[in-house]
Amino acid sequence: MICPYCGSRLSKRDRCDRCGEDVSKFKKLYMAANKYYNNGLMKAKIRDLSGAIVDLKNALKIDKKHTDARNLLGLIYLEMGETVSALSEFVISKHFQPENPVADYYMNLVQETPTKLDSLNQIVKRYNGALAYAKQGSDDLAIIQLKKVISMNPHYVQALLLLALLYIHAEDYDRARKVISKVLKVDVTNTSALEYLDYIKLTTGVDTKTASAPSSSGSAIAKTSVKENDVITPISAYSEERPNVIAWVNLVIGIIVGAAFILVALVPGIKKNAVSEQRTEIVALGEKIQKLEAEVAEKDNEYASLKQDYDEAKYKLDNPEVPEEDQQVQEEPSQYESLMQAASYFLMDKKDKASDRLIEVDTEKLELPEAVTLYNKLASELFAEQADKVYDEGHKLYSDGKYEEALEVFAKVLKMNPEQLSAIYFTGRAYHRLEKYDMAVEYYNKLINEYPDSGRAGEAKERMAELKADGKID
Amino acid sequence: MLDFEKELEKFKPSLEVDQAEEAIYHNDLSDVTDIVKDLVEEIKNK
Repeated sequence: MICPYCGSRLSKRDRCDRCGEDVSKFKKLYMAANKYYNNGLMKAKIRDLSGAIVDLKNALKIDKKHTDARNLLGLIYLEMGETVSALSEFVISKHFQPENPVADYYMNLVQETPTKLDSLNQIVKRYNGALAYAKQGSDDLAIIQLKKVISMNPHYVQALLLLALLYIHAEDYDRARKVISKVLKVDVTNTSALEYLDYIKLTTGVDTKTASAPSSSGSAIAKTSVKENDVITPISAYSEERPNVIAWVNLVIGIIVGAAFILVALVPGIKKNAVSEQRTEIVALGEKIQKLEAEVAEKDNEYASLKQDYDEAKYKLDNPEVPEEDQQVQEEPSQYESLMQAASYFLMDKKDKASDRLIEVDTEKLELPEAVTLYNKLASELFAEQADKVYDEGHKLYSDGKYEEALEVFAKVLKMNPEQLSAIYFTGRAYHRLEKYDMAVEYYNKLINEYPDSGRAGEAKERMAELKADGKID
Repeated sequence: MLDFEKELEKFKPSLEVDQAEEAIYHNDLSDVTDIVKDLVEEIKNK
């Protein structure tokens, strides 16, 4: 279960360990969504795909981020021939959970080659064309198209149902029944298929089960009512096999003509496609290289400018004839060194090290206005992002019982972002665990007095009450 | 009695690949969790 406020994994508690918000109501919702998902999964396993779709959609209405339900829904759409609907579900699933091997697997299955996706799209286009023909009244054309569609994807439920409906309209009930049985093999409770089957039963008076059941005897005796005087003549299935030379000759000629066609017509086309794909790839790579070169040039300029600032500052520090107003700078060289190191790491994209160096800088000791500007610029780029990362490290140390080390890390976090309420709370908790109750009270009171509406303030009050009850404070 | 015209109307064209992007963007992704979250926020802000 994921916290709806901060996105971290939830524990068994009713409050999120990371952001401290009350999540008890959301846990109930997630459990309801899980129940729908489990029902959907059970139905899918027995091929009640229509029922499974309803349950999975309900699960997603409650919790859109239930990626298991979304992936299963996509798989069912894929099975029923609705390729694009399936792809949409997998894409949304990936959006909510980027590390998503199940969605990746099915998406790769559909998109493993450009031609595969194209051929799946052709199937959908043919089906849409057949539907248009049917709506215009051209049933024969629609049937021809639908037969092609089904030969390309025998599980395409909508195409099978439309074909069955057209056969019923043409009063060709045997064919309609066969097509419906194919639908029911894919989706055992398909409402439309069952409705059509009932209609055929009512119209023809033939029970579908007996009509579709295979003949048990295997003989070719016609199933008609037999009277006493009738003579039953079995139709012999046996016939003398004669070698058919012409058929073999035709087959060989066919193979030769086919091979010649592939060589003449298809191979140049395939080669051309391959060359054009390579060209597109080369152009794309060229663009990428240009972009990277521009980025490198930009970084170089930035580095040169910062290096110049650094050299000037260093010159002023090293030069014994510094003006009086710069003497204070000479007294505190480490502040500038840390600042320059932070800038240097930032340019190298090593944000962790850059923020470590930047924390060491005491802004009150920076006299040069350029240095203060540089500090503010780096702080705005680094601290917001790094504070949460560093907090996670601190929380892990706290969870492992390393309270002293956790306190050091939380202090860093609070220097980066003094309003990180979880860091304030866990600083108090760490002191509490270390039995430094005065310090713990100081941090609990900070939350209670300065952030009274936050979830952490509520927790801090609970902790204060515990301390009082235990007689640790007055 | 099966009404062919009415049954035919129930069939809708399937989505094609070039409509996928539109289908994803227009997918209504608000869920009960969002609604509850908004309600909790509203109560907190009162």
